[in-house]
Amino acid sequence: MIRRPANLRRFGLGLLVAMPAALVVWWFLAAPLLVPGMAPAFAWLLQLIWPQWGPAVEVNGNAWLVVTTLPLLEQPLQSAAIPLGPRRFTAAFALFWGLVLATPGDLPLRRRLRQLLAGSVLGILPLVLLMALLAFHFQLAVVINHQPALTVTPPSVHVLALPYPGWQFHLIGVGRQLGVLVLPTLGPVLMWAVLNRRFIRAMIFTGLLSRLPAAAGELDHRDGRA
Amino acid sequence: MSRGLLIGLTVVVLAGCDAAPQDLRRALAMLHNDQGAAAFTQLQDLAATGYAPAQFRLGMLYLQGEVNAERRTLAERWLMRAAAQGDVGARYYRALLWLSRRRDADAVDAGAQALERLAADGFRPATLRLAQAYEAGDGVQPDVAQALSWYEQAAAQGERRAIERLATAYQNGELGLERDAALAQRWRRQLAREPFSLSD
Repeated sequence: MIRRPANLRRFGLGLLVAMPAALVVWWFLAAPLLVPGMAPAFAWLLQLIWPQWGPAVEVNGNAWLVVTTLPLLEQPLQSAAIPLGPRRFTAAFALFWGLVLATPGDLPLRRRLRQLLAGSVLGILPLVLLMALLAFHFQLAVVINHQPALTVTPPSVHVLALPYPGWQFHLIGVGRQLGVLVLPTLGPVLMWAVLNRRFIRAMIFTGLLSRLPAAAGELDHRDGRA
Repeated sequence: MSRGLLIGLTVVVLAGCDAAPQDLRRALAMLHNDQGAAAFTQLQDLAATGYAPAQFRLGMLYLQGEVNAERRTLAERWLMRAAAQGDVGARYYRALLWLSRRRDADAVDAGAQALERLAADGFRPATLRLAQAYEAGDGVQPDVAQALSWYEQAAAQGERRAIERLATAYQNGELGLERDAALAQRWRRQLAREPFSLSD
């Protein structure tokens, strides 16, 4: 039987404690601040990418309402507004915090806090904005093309804009799947792995090195008996 | 090097802070809050700067309410300016405006051609409008074959109203089609497959 390295066990136990704690902090304290706090940055990004639709973000509880200047066919003096729920994307913060706090090692508290802060601001925050952008782009494409896709149905009104070509529409759908399904889980894990390369290396190499001699010895023993 | 970086960052930050859309949103909000006069002034100012979405909205504002010849001319002028910048709404409504000039054959032709260009660009409402115009002889000479062709194109693009019309046409033997219950059923099944939200 191969013995697991001690730090892997400690990491597993740490996850059991740190992850629920991080999720509680995120749900009750962080998310209600993050949703309105990120809105100006998201609005700025939207303006940068789609200046022709003049988007602005209004915060409505836990949701964003992206107000555009896209005119409606049926009421040309009114514009399209697209709702977006960013709370689910901010769960990436909780995942990252849980992983960082559960990681065993001899890092002093100040360095660990610095890692939490730097990783959250420089890594997770842009990632969350990217997820929201990918999701919004898909919602926008569904509204513009007036075509249901991936369980999203367009409103009954049409907007006065040229549709995306078919291939682009599908690519935007792939981007949405990436932003909604892949990045929220994989992104924080990768960010944590980058910031904890030493731990990852130790975990993998210690594990491999501890297994290799044992396995080699077992083979020699079998060869000898044969 | 650092100065170049600073200038680059400033340009990027400023690129995300365009004032014209903000003013347009404010003007439209005023319009819906019964502050028509203030909204009109703001739209005029914005349109004068050459901002196409404001030019389009100003043109449409002239077409609201009781439209006389003067308002129509002003509307057309602003729609032309916005359309020249590629504004899709302006292109569409300018085409409809031309189509509505029934006594002016050149304008009607230009309207139909403008709608065809929009349809070629993939704008489904234009494709549907052409189909309806040819079916009803609205502006253009009635032409059932043309109407059917445009309905089929719109339906192929997923336009719900075109699909509904084709289903009814096959059911009742309209648009020069033979009655075909199976085909009517097939179009209706397509409608059921692609549900649309009716909440908005």
